[in-house]
Amino acid sequence: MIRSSWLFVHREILRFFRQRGRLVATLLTPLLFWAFLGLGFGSLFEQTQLQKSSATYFFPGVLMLTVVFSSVFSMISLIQDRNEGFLQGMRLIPQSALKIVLGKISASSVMAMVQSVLILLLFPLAGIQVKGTDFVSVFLILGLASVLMSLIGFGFAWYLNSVQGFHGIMNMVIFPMWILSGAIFPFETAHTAIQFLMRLNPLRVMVDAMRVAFEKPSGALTPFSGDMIGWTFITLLLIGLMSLCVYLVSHAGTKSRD
Amino acid sequence: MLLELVQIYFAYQKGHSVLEDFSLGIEQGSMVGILGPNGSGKSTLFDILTLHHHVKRGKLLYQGQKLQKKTYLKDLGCVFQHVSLDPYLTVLENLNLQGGVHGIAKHKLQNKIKSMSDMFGFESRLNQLVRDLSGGLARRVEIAKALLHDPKLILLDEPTTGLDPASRKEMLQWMKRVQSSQGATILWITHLTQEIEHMDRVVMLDKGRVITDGQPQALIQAMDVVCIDAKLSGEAKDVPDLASMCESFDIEGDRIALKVQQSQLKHVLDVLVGHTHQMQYRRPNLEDVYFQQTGQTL
Repeated sequence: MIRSSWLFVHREILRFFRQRGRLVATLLTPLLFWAFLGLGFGSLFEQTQLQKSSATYFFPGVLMLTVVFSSVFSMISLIQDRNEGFLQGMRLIPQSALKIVLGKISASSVMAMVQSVLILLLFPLAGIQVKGTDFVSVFLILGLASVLMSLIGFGFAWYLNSVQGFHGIMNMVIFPMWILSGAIFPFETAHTAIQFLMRLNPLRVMVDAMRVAFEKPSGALTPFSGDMIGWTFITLLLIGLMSLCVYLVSHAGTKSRD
Repeated sequence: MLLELVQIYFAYQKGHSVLEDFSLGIEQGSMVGILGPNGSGKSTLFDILTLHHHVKRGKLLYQGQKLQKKTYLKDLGCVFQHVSLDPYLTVLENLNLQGGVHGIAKHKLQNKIKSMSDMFGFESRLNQLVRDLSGGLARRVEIAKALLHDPKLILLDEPTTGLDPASRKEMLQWMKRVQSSQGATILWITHLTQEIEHMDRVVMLDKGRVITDGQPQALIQAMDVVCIDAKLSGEAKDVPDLASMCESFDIEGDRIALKVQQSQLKHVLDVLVGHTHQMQYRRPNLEDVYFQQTGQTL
């Protein structure tokens, strides 16, 4: 299983570096968001009770955005694989559906992790201190986020056969998820209806956990100890999405949609 | 039998069957051509054999037993109508990926890639990106990819699409070599009769049914007809109606085309000789066999 997963990861790395536009877009987009949000909200933050700079506040959200963009949009390759004919061959390899899903998800997650770690290394610019254990915690959170978003992307990309359709639907899914993750505004100040949606959002749990790792507020033990219901929900969601993707692959043959 | 399809029924929409009561047995080590025009059920058959479609009725047997997906896929090699290579990877990377996911040991895989690239003549292109290859070369790599894991059963779906006549001939020779050297069973789906004439067996399809099944040369000989093409020397209306003496009789412009039973040949020639010139004879081919069976051209 490790060899076949590595082969898919290796393939994804090779493709990534041979499609330079992808590299630039996935790294530059979050940085632009960070710069514009940070500078745009800069003076407003000085008037709030948050007691932190806008660059610090938006940093976890920017990391999340990197992971979300990279993991979801790397699944476009699944649609390209189908359209270019590559997938028809891969469907005939004598591997279990689980291995095929794991191969693709690990490839997408590894690429998302590499990109998010590159952004994470800019933490001095955010004016925060990241110790070894915090770094590991954030790394784990980003890993979970990339697997989660890759699975969501995989499910849609398996079902859809147009890149345009995938873009449209994924923008409809990922932007609300990211905006409601606490990346731009805090949970506490949001409207009750928005708070309800934020409670249901797995990315909100992860962004909150990253804030704990970066800011170490008084009373917090570890980034993972704050919201046990949220983490349980994420675990169940990961299991559910993985099962769904394995089901889709093992029952392949039905027509995909535009 | 290596592979058997027993009374298969398949429909994309209820009530509109593509394959109906379709039965076919493929002997081990044979090279079988599946011939039919568009809409005859060829592609659906290919999709069923590549497990892309699940059969709704009927049985699919492999080596005499109910088909087990994992064993079957291990033994299966496929050449698709459109190449299934990753255009952003090199030839070598594509072959390494295919061999790797099939679990071929690294050193064995390297030897295999070497022998395949020698056989198909792309040893100097191993480090070239697939998107930079010509159609013919990409097709060679596609075949090598399908053969990398020494499959027992090789399925080819219109494999010569986009190839010139010389490359088509070459491809047939490669597959003959694979059949004799590896004892592989080959199922070749096409609408081109020339590709199938030298195979062990041809199965002709029409509207999702097998209409003829046999050795190509035997089917041609069984027709017992001579095909005549000639140019009219006078008016078409002056030519007597020979339809009752011919298998087929067509006049188009100043050309006349007939298929005549050997027993009727002398009578027909006696009539034609005063009305035509530039007469040409040819042996019937599989296209004529198909026309005889269905009244349609391929």
